[in-house]
Amino acid sequence: MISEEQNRTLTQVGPGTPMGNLLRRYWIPIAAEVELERRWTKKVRVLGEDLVLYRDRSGKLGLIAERCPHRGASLAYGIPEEGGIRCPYHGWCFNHRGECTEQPNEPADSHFATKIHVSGYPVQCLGGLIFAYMGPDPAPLLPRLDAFVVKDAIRVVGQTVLPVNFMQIMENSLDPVHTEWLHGHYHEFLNQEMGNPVRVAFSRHHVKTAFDVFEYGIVKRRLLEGQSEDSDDWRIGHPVIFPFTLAVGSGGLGTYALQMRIPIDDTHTWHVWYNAYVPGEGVEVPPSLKKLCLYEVPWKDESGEFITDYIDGQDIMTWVTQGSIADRTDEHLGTTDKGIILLRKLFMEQIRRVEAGEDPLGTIRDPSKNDCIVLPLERKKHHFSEGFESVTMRFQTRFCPVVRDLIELFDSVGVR
Amino acid sequence: MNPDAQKSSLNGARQGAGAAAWCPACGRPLTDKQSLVVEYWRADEVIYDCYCSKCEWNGEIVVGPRVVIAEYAD
Ligand code: FES
Ligand SMILES: [Fe+2]
Ligand SMILES: [Zn+2]
Repeated sequence: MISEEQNRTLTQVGPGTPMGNLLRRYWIPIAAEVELERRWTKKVRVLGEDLVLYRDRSGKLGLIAERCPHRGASLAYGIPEEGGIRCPYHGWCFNHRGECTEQPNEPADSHFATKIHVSGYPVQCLGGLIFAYMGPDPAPLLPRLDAFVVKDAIRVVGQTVLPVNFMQIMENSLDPVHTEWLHGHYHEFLNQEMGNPVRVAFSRHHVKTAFDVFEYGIVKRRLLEGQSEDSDDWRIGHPVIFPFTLAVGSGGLGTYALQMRIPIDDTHTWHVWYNAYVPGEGVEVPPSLKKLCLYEVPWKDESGEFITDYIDGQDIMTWVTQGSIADRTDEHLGTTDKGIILLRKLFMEQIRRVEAGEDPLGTIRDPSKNDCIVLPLERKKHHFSEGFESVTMRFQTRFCPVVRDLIELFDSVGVR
Repeated sequence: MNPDAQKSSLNGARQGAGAAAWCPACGRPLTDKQSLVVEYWRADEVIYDCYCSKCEWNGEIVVGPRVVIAEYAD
């Protein structure tokens, strides 16, 4: 339990808020490159700001405020130009920095345009995603996480918008014990109800959990009943990359899975599941898997009920039923919530760092450290012991339109 | 403590919250919006896990239901 005021600090992400200022120090994913292949613009709302991502005539990407400062029409319907985008309403033109470069119907000797500008942010592409930096200059380096830079990988990316604050989703990632219940016993209960009384590896009891702050976030580890202390789950674990990413594998070397929780505003989060699979040298990848596949992850059925027969759907059910902003003044934490407490303290500490003029956790400015960031990741993970197909079909990857091809490929080449 | 924080349904829980109203290291209030006081329970103990935004003190304040001490034999 915390106070209402401290809960607000942890959950308000808009411009000028302490959390908003902290989050603006990081590169934030805003789209997949494939989204701008057949169109010129994408409306993007991030950290409470309405923006438009666009591709100009020269192929360069830009990100500026969506609302035209003339009389407010949306630049998401704009006309791409050589070095910017033009408002469809009266033709005002803006460059990538958000400066107004042209007002075609004003007198030729007018300097009015030089007085007009909107926010404009730098963007960069990596691993098929487009990232924005909305903080003060100089921008840090865009972290080259292993999943983004690994070569010859098959990439599939699931996405959805959740009507909740990002913090409760991040707290879930510091709560290892929930897996035993939500993805274990609850899943088994559902199986039983369906007349299919199968046990799942997830229900194995936690003996202990541990959390360590490292260079890029927090590593969490678990020891399950029957495991020895030299098991990968306890020795290595996997990390939460500060401030909004969880890194889990998909079982085996050469599989990468990131869950990114991008705050749209205080009560909405863009959830992105970024999966990369490396089939290994000399393997013929079928055409259907050559291009990054972006797909929607559904979490409610036609009758409006949560879909809880897959792992991510179970998580989503709990996040959404906690309310749009979890009421932390009315919770009852126990000893298994120590990871959550650590995360909250880490956010407060990093907010302070930023206010003191320092770089927050995970900031990279040295290119020699940013070739490829190899994250600690357990390989022989007990939760994935049921094999690639079973695990892939029980996670949100089941909704990936090319999932069958993926499973078939790894059936033949094996997960390393 | 923030009066809102008094609304715990756990009897007596927030009685101890006063114990975590001030930073044990620098004496300034822990109730400011960028510090953090998280209440949790360990068996019968109520614990306030704190972070002070002023001096960065980070630690626990424990409010136990009773004190158990060993009695020495004569
Ligand atoms: S047991 Fe944790 S939310 Fe109900
Ligand atoms: Fe989960
Ligand atoms: Zn202090």
